[in-house]
Amino acid sequence: MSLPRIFLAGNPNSGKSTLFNALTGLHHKTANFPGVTVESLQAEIELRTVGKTILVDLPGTYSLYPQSQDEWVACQALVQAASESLPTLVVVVVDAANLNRSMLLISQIQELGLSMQVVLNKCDRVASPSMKGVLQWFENEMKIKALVCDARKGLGLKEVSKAFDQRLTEAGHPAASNEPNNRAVSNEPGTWAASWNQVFGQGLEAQNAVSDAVRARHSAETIDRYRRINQSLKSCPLHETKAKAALPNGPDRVLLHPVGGILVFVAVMALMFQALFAWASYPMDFIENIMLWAGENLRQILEPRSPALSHLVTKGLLPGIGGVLVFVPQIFLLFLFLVLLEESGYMARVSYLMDRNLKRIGLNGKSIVPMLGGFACAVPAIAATRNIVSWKERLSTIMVLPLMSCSARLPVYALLIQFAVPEGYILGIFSLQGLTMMGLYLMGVVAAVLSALVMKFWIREKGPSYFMLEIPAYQWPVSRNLWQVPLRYCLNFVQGAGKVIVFVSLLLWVLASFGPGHKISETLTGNAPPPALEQSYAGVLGKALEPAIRPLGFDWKIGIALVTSFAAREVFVGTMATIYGLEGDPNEEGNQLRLKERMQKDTVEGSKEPLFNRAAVWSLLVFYAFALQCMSTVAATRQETRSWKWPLIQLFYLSALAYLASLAVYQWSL
Amino acid sequence: MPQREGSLDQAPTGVPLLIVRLDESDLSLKLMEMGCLPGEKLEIVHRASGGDPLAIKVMEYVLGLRSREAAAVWVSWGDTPLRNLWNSQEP
Repeated sequence: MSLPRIFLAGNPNSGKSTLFNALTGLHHKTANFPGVTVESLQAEIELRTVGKTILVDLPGTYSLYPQSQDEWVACQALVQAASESLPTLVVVVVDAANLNRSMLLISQIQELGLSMQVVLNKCDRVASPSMKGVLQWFENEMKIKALVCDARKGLGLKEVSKAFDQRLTEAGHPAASNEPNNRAVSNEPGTWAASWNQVFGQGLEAQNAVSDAVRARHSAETIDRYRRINQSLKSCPLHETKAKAALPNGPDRVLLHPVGGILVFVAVMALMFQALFAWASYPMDFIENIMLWAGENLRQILEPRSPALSHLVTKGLLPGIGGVLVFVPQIFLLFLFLVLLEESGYMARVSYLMDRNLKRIGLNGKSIVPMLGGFACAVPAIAATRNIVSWKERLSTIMVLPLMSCSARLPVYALLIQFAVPEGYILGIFSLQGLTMMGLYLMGVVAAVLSALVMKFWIREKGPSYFMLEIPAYQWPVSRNLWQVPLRYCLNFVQGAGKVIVFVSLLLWVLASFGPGHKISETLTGNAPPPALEQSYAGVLGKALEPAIRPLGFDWKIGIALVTSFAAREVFVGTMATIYGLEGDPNEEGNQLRLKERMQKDTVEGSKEPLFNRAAVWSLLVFYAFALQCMSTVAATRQETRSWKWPLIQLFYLSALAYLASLAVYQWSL
Repeated sequence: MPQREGSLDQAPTGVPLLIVRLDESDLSLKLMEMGCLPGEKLEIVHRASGGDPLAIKVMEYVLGLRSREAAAVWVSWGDTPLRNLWNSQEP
């Protein structure tokens, strides 16, 4: 049986997502980005009489006539719901300070004939003699049930759930057909939903075909709606906004200054990377030590009983899991920063500030949000491009996004930088390794800018380019969102990436433990020693690859890591851990050293030169900065561009870039 | 100062403006949905270097837009009744 549904709709910045988070906690189905609700995020909630209900957070939109992909997703969901017979409730979240602008969407949804509930949010920002009067106005004048809540402080949530319950009970009841419109007719010709379907039903591509006549009709309709709204609002006791729109006073004098604003932005980014490298190292060391301790203890317990199982767990599984867990603190910090930037209202200002420059390289001010999101993970970031109206700008953004160093590259960078740069500080505060890390990120950004320029002249897609963005008033981020949102991403990451990494490390263990000419059964029962890594399947594979990567300074062991991290680049560290955990006698004193020390001791075959010498490590760093080693990104690009053409172009140009840049770095620094 | 008219991208900053009309274009619907309707008051509150993009205050919120988009909005300003429009209740 299908569950009843509640759709949360509303303008961007209305506090919709905050309400969603407050109502659902950590129980979300799909991953998403702070601030930008790019996919309809769903969660199951429990209502008293109705029981299990699906709560859907739709992307923000100003009207039901979509212009961008995310608006289309929201509008389509609502229009579709109007033609289905499932018990459905549309909740429109309204920023009380922008009531008349929200009324446009409300009046359109009203005509869909779905049962509706208005939630007035951010009421602290308006002056009203009585909020009761406003609610009464909604009920009497607009014939809509409304209530007040403060999603940020979590006030009135119980009343909200109660109202949801009540409205859904009424909607599911056959006697409740005293709704303004009867839903059964909404999909018949001549209705609002039917004419919407005619224009937008086939998706947004069809929108290019929106004729001047239709556009003129929509414009006239909008003017008429606003005229009626302003007429009705005269009797509404909500007159004034307390929070005056903030520009150009206060912080914006500096933050939007052509020079000062960019300096502040660079400083904020520098702080972020400093935090990622310097501050996250403490919890990371802690996790690493726990994994070592757990591995040692498990080995002592399992070894006497089953050597094969012990080998599998401590040399295959644990290093893989440890490789994932160890960068959870960094992901948490990264998302914490993104939530802070987004929720405070700073991100919108950065978009505004950067639009002029981004336009020059064929992108859009709105590209900045996905691009910063790309520092966390390219997959949701690619979906976050949906609010860019111009297809060409959106496509360019998607194509260059994987060059923003995502969090999966962090552990690779963190591990490798130690070999390339000594520990130490500049001016006593800036860690040298932290600065190097920032340099790598910067290199990705520069590559993204140059690639975008190439795309600008190369991609031949037509369509108008817009930048219209609400710049919200500054506000303190909600403390709940500051831990909840990053935590949700960490959980998501551990579950999602964890599966891949555990699978790949198990596969790698099998490939590295067995080899041609060695009988698997003999190795498993302990009758024959496992083959040396070089003679194993993994070794054979790495050796086969070696001629191609030798010019980059990589040997066959790194070759194995390149192959395994093709599906997901974070596997590199786990692979290194597994390779160096497997090689040699595990009981030997030197092998108890941590991964870093083991890698440091390895030498290029037939010489005393360390394998991870400066030139090779730089080459490897550059390779990982540019290469598209992520199946999920390829899938996301395929999904968003609806063709194999673009993901394949993306994969090819990034691989070529990585190989050539690596080659140049290694040959030059030798 | 005599009353004057012009497109929004050419209008002065920090002065109450009144929307006269919008050009027929693909972006006029979007502008109207965002509150830029004929007869509505607005004010340019910030201009980035080079005048693009610019931020306008309309319907009690701030909207950032490119000057090319602003060019679709025709506004009037001056000292005739419009001077105090921003603070007045209803014309």
